[in-house]
Amino acid sequence: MKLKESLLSRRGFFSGLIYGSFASLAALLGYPAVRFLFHKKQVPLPEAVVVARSEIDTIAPNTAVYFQYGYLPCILLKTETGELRAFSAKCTHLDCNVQYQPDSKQFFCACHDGYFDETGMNIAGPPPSPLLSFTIRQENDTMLISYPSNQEGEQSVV
Amino acid sequence: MISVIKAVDERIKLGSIISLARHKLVPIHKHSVWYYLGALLLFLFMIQAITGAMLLFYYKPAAETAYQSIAEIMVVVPYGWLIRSVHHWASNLMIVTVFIHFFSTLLVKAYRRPRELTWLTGMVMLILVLFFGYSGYTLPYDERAFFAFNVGTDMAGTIPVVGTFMLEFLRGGDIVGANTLNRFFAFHVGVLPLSLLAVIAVHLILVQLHGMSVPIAVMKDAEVRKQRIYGKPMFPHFLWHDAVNCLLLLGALVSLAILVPSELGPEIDLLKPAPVGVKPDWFFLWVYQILKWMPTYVLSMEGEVVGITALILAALLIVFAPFFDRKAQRNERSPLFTALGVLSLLVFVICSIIGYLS
Amino acid sequence: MARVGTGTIFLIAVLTIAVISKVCFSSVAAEAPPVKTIVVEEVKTEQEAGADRITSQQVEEARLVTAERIYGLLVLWAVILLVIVVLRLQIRDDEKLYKEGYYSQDLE
Repeated sequence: MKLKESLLSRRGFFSGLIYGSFASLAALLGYPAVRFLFHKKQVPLPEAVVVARSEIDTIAPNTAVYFQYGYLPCILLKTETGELRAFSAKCTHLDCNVQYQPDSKQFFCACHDGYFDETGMNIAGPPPSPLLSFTIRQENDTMLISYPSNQEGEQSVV
Repeated sequence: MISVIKAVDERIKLGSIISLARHKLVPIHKHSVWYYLGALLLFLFMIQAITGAMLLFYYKPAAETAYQSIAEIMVVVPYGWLIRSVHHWASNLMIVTVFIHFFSTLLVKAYRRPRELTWLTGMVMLILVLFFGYSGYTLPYDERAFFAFNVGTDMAGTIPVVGTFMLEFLRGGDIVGANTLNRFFAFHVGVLPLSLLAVIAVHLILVQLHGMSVPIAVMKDAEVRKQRIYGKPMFPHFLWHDAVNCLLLLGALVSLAILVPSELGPEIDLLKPAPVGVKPDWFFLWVYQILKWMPTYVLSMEGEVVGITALILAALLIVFAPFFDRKAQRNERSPLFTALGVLSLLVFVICSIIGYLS
Repeated sequence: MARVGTGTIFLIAVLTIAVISKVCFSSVAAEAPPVKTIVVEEVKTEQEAGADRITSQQVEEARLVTAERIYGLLVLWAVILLVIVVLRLQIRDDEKLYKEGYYSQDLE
């Protein structure tokens, strides 16, 4: 059945062509722009970090010190019994750096009042999970702290 | 679709803007082709703003990190080489186009009454664009950038009266160093874009107010033949023509960027001597060549100072041409200023070529 | 004169309130306890150690014109020419309308 009049006017057709071709041009130009803007730089973490014995001996019992593991800020705790534990210093709630409180033997996050115990377990406040803990190994006269391949990393005793 | 357009029209009065635009006519005559240059320049400026903003995501503007960040853009970031090359080539094309636009308006005397302000804002933009180009190629902080810093700021220092102040202001101190890079970054990314944007706005408003200027020869010709000068609507005819030209320019730009990607010279070394044949970027070759020809001393004044002062005086003559060119103001043929215009064009082209070949 | 006086009194009043507020009521978060850090040494494999700086040779490699880039350029030109053809058709149509006087009519 032939129609008397076209459903699409000539101007409508041209408008459609123009929109369509500009859209395809925009898509073609937009692809490299989007890939450029959404690039993520991979910053690898080191396999392990080495701490000298002399440094460890300067840490008093029941105190914690900070160290850098690649781009991660971390905290090294020496308990009253002399045991060494290493955790990521970033609170699991919203990434503020935690501090060790020797009186209560807890890690405290000042941003939103989060608390972790000596083993890094989240005990009070908003943090949803424990502090990331690192594996510590003794090698000759140094301690090797490494990123755990599994979350239940072993903690060696000094 | 119609209801959407109606809804928009009700809120921002699109209809009245379009009917205003429809009344604008562009004169059609044998020199109409020069009218296209303005839209091309605006298009190039937008390309520069967009690619520049994208490069800002990855460029680190400190002396220690600038070079490596650009290397990272070229090698690591996806299409980083493309965005940087487009930015580089668009800057070259923009400078070429701005010179063509400048010389064409100079030769057809578009600066005559009532368009003196349009001309003056255009001259300001010419200087801003040249400073854009200069500050841009210092940002990689490579070897050429270091010499560009030293020579350029030294030349600024030779300007009489304000020279020392200019030199220290541009360098951020007495010597070229980290402060200089930071300052040029601030110019290139903050001061110059905002200034150029403001001046473009004034220039465009003035152009809309006055309409397009018709060359004196064409006007006289039409008078003699007792014919009206035919005009075409800006919207939509000339808009489509502008779009076609801008697309061709885009194609040329991306072709250049892909076939001749930007280089990254050797890293800056403060102790290295200037390499043989070190020259400024092409758009300053004419100045370089003219200053090279200056003798060391002219009547007990340093050759550099005389050269730069002479160039500034010549530039001022051109800037204030509307006020000197009495004949053009009366819409009469002005062969003297045409000759001066042709002379300045020849000086620019020939000195640039000699500077390039020497 | 009265305006200058009123203005001055207003200015002095605002400055007084500002100074008193800053001195008495400004609160700064309590200082976090002093941080003791220890120095550690990273253990890196050889390839990781050299990967930081990008060399001129890598930059030159990134500048090479590959077949993929030429292909992309040709696609871009094809799309640009398509858009130009469509625009010129539109221009032709608009010229015809202009001759018929469509664009000379005032819009409502």
